[in-house]
Amino acid sequence: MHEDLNQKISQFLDNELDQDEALSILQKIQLQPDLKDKINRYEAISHVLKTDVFLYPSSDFSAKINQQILQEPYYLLPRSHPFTENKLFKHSNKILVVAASIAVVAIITAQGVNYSDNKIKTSSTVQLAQTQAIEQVSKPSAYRYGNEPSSVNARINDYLQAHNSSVYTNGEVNFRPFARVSAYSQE
Amino acid sequence: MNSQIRASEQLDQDLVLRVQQGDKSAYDLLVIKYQHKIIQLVNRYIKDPSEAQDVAQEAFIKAYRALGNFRGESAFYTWLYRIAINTAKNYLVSRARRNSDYQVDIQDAEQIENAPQLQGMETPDRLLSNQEIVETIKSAIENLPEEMRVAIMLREFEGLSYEEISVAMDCPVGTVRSRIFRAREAIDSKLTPLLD
Repeated sequence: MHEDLNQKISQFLDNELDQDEALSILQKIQLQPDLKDKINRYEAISHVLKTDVFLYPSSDFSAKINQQILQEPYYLLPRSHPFTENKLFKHSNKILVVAASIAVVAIITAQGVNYSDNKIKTSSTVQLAQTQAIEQVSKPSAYRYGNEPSSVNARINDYLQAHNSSVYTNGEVNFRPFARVSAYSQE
Repeated sequence: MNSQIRASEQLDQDLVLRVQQGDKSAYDLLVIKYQHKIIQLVNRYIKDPSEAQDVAQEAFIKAYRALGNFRGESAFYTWLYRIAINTAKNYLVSRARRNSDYQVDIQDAEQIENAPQLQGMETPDRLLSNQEIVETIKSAIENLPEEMRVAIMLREFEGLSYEEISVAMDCPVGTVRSRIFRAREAIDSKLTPLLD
């Protein structure tokens, strides 16, 4: 009677129909109880072959569910955020998140480069100073200022002459004869 | 085979979307598609077929109520299976609580536990009837012409696709399709009188 449809049902059970054909046969099964019985018997046969257990759903199995669903109060109905929209939303969110992450990484990297540049400059300055300090320490103090020993001696002599407050006390009261008292103002 | 599975999942996805947009009849298509698989699954936990059917119905209704939260991160049927398993387990827990209220004699409980046929509280008539049906189906498959028997066994036991069977049996896919269908029809013709 429904030979073609029955064959389609057989193919449907074996996942051998494309999406449109599968939807079409499901809609026909929904409308025709004898096709519904047919798919149930095919399924039962398949189950017996695999498990030796016979299971046959009552003819009103889906009708009872349908009836129950029709009576569902509004607040129990599936909410209107279809998963494909959520998927799209998630997809766009993912793109935003990735873009934001890339921007943050770029900023951090740029800052890192500046910081390392500064660090290199700072460290090179410090290194230079340290090298100079070591060089200076290793030289006599006279060389630190780029002076020769003779000129330094001359400077010291000048200084001593300038700050010489020595007096000769030749028999003066309260002084010893020819005693030299000198005092240097320390800088 | 994979492309066919993808087509099946795509169909589920479209039907779920339709339900989420308010088309209740689309859910009926999903019920028709998965009712037998869900009853089989629940029957592994609840041995009584009529109880298993009630629990399977409850699972479908729970799934419908939760469909708004279904994000499509897994395939619809795996999500549905999870709900069905949880519903079956919850049912068993609540039934165990109910039974404990009756203070069943320990010896009786052990006897029931050790008798798988009685776990589902099936009546002897029903057991006999089911056994008869199983024997009829087995006898029908043994009496099939060899090419039909091999085709349906490769499909049912080995899970091969029509294309794989056509390679194994060295015949066109159309012939495989026809052989499997005719095998099912031959078995069905023996089964139908027993169900009337």
